[in-house]
This record gives sequence, structure tokens and C-alpha cells, in this order.
Amino acid sequence: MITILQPGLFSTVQDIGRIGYQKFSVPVSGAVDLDAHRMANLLVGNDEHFATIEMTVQAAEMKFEQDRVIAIFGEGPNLSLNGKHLPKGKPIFLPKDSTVKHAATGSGARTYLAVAGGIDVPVIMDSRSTYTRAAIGGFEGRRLAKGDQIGVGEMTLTQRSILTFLKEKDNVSWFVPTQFFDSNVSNGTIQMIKSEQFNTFTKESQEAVFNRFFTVTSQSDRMGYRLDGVELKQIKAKNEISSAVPFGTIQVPPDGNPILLAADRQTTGGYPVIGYTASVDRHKLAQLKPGDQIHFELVDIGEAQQQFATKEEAMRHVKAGIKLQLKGMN
Amino acid sequence: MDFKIIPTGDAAITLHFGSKIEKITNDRIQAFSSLLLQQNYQWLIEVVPAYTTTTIYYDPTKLIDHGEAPFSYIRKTLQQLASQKHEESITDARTVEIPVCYGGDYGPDLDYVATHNNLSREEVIERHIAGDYHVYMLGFSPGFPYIGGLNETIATPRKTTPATRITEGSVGIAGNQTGIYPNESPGGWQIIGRTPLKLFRTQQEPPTLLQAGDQIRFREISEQEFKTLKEDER
Repeated sequence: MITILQPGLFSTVQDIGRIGYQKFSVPVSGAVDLDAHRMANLLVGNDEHFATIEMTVQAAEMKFEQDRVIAIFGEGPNLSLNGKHLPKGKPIFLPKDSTVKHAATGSGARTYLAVAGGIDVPVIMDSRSTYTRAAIGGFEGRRLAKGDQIGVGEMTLTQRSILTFLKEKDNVSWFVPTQFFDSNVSNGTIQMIKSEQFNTFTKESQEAVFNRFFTVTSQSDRMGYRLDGVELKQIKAKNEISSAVPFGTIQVPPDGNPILLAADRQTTGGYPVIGYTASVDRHKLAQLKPGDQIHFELVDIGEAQQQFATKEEAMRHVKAGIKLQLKGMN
Repeated sequence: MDFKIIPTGDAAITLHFGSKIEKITNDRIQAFSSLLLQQNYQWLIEVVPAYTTTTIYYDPTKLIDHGEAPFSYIRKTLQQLASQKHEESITDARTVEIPVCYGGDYGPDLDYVATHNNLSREEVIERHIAGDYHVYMLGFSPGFPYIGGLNETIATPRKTTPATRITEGSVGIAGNQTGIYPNESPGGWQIIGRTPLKLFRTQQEPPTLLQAGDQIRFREISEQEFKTLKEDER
């Protein structure tokens, strides 16, 4: 059991998302930074789809009732235990009655906390993810609040051995750096694929979208990010007939300020779309905070997919590496 | 079957079946969407049908080693699938009956809709029941059906100021559309009645009473029957 002493700014239970239910108009939800979520799970020997706690900007204060192994990943808030900074990117042993809390904000927005055995909340439509707008899934369909008592799943035999190892020896010296997923493209740059409607925007807007900086506004959450910068205009304003909008869709509502759609986006939309961000850059979007500046760089689909595949390949290697390390504690 | 294939970013592709909202186009979308789901393509993640399109979410990393670009591979695969199967694959649509208690507290805007169209309350109800309805897609919120086929003589514009709280199950009119609120929410539709049926139920499979492609028939019920049916839904 984990008791929430302070919930932080916005903490929810998430997994890899509610997949296959968009045709019922149920949003995908899930970890905004899927990479960080997956990595946190792998570091404690969980499957990637197990639920973690997603914490935004300010971390929660949590008390762990039993001995546990946890891992923290993502460029969001940093946590501490008894005044001591908790390292990200490695399995950590927590003795029973430990209280982990917010220590400092990070360079990004979101941090994930995985527990060996996974966060145990009911599975709703094949997922443990929280969709707060319709109170679906997660812990009672809502963000975590003071006093919540959250269950933890059973550990496997391997995970028990890891716990014993960490408890008796000391914490391990190896770790996966949180910058692991960063590509060669600098942080404020997000690659964008043109949409079919790209040419319906004015020449100025077509140029501005790639040449100008956009600022992430405070009207940004798990549903999407409202951007501020140059107003994008169509040659002739025209709404589209509603159709599906993937993660990273860059919609342009009538006011001209683009919206980047994220994990809790509605399943369909009818605003004109200027482009889509590349899947490989999803974790960069996930880590954006209000006030951050971003810049879009043109990429074609083939190149974006190649980068995505290369990144997944790297993920497979690190996954094998972690498995080997954890096996060594067995 | 004829459609345009357009990429929607690097992990989705959208098939465009037409440029107008028409039942015949929508029927083809439903048929092709179910056909897709029967194929067990290992790269396919999910299929999201809408008014004139269906979007396929896929995993490009599962296709990268095919020796050709994932997008062209999928396009070829879909064109082959479309050429093998034709209109006969359109399955018979389900017809779902929706019991509605019209007027009074259940439909506070029934009088407005009647006055707006110079009809009596009874005439509005009659014409609402007589409609031939088709669920084009689910969107906006979990389980919310976009229903076409409203009799134009009872079409009524949205409220200028949306109501802050519309009760779950409310049946409304907005322009020439009719719809049902699966959950309590704010909204601008003119509410003419309420159904005791639950449109969205997370513990059932499928989680929605209505699905894209369904035909709907409304049936008038009394307040007493509403209460009885509501009990049964619990």
C-alpha cells in the first residue's frame, strides 16, 4: 500500500494507454511520456504496460507501508528520501514506512514512479490509465488526493530476489541517464510532418510555422498544449468534417494559435491541421512546461519512421541490458 | 471499394471515402473498418471510423524491415484488401430501440422546439419518433453518438447560452441533428426527452450501447415506464 500524504500538482495513475476504444470515443490517455514510463517499469523488473504514477512539475509525497523496490524516470520533478536526493534511472530499495517527497523541479514536466509489482487499480477497458475528464480508470477516475491509499501488485520471484539483494547489499552503481532518449536534435526542436491541409494555409503561415518560435502557454495539460507565437491562417478559413486526430496533431482553431494534441485528446477533431509531430519526439512534447519555447523542423514520414525505429532498437538494447543486471541480483 | 489514402503523421493513415456526410458513404466506412479488424495485421493498432473517413493507427517500427516504406506497404496491402472485397461485405445494420420519456422535467425544451417550428408538442414527438436514424460516428465524449436523419420540420438551433448541467440520457436537438448525452455534462442542445438506457457502461464489452453504423428507432414511454426501465438498468 502507498499512502498519498500530499498529491503534488497533478499526479495520476497511468499505463501505456487504453488502446482499441477510440471507436467508442474513449480517449487513449496513458503516460504522456511513454518512454519514461516504460523505462521506470523496466528498471524494477515490471512489464512495460504496468501502471506507474505520473507526476507533473511538483512531485507527490508518498508513504510506502512495506519494503518496496521503486524506480523513477523522466525529466520532471526530483524526489528525496529522508532529505537525501533519490537518483533517477535505477532500482532503489525503500524500507517499510519510508516517505518519499518532492525535492526540486526538473528541467522537464513529468516524472514517473514505478513500483515492483505495479500500481494496482482496477482494469477498465483493458487499461489502468486515468482519464480525469470522464472519471474513467486509474484511482477512482481522478487525480490523486491527500489520504488516498493505493494498492501495489504482487512481486514476481525475481522481483523478490532483487528486493532482498538491494536490501542486504547496497543500491546498485549502474543507472540509465534520463537523457537516454534525446536525439541529436536540440531540446526545443520538434520535428513536424506536413499534413494534407498544409497548402491551405497562407504562404506566410507555411513559412512561419518552421521559422518562428512558439511558446507553450499555461493552458496546457494532458489533453494538449496551446501554443502562442505567430497566428496561423488559412487562405480561406474552412473547418473539416471531424475525423481521428493522433497524438501530436497540430490543430489550428479560428484564433490562429496552434494546439498540440496530447494523451487525453478527444478521439476526433474538425479544426484544420497544419501538421503532425514525429512519434520519435513524443517524449520531448511530454516534458514541455508553460513558458518553454519550441521550434518545428520539417521531416518527411520515411525519415521520421526510420528515427522512430532506431530509437525502439536502442530501447530493446537497454531493456536487454537492464534484464541482465537484474538477473545478476537473482 | 474506392477511397483515397492519406498519411496522418508517421503512425496513422486515413482513408477518405467521400467528401459529403452521406449514409451510403458511412455504410462503406463501417464495412471496411470491420473488415480491417478481421485481418489480424500485426502492425495494426486500432481503427477509428468517422463521418467520411476511417483512420488506421499503426506501428511503423513493425514494418521498417519490409524493404519498402511502411506507408507504401500499407497502401498496397489496403488496396489489395479493397479489391478482394466488395459491397457484399456490408453487414446488416443493427436497429436499436431507444425508449424516451418526452417533455416535462425530462424534456424541458420540448415546448420551445414546438413553438419554434409552429407545431404542437404531440406533433414534435410524432415526428421525432417517425425519423429514420443512423449513427454516423461516436465522438465528443465517451459513447456520444452523432445521429443523422432528423425530420427537418423539427430542426431547432442550439441554445445561445449552453445549459450548465444536462442530465445523463437526455435526448436533444441541435440544428438538424439529434443526439443523446451518455453522461451528465454542460451542453447547448434543446432537450426534448430522456432515455432510461445507459449509453456508456465501462464494465461491459462493448462499452457503448450504440455503435457507428447502427440504426435507431425512438419509442415514446410514460414516466412510470421510465422509472421501471431505469431500475432495470441498475
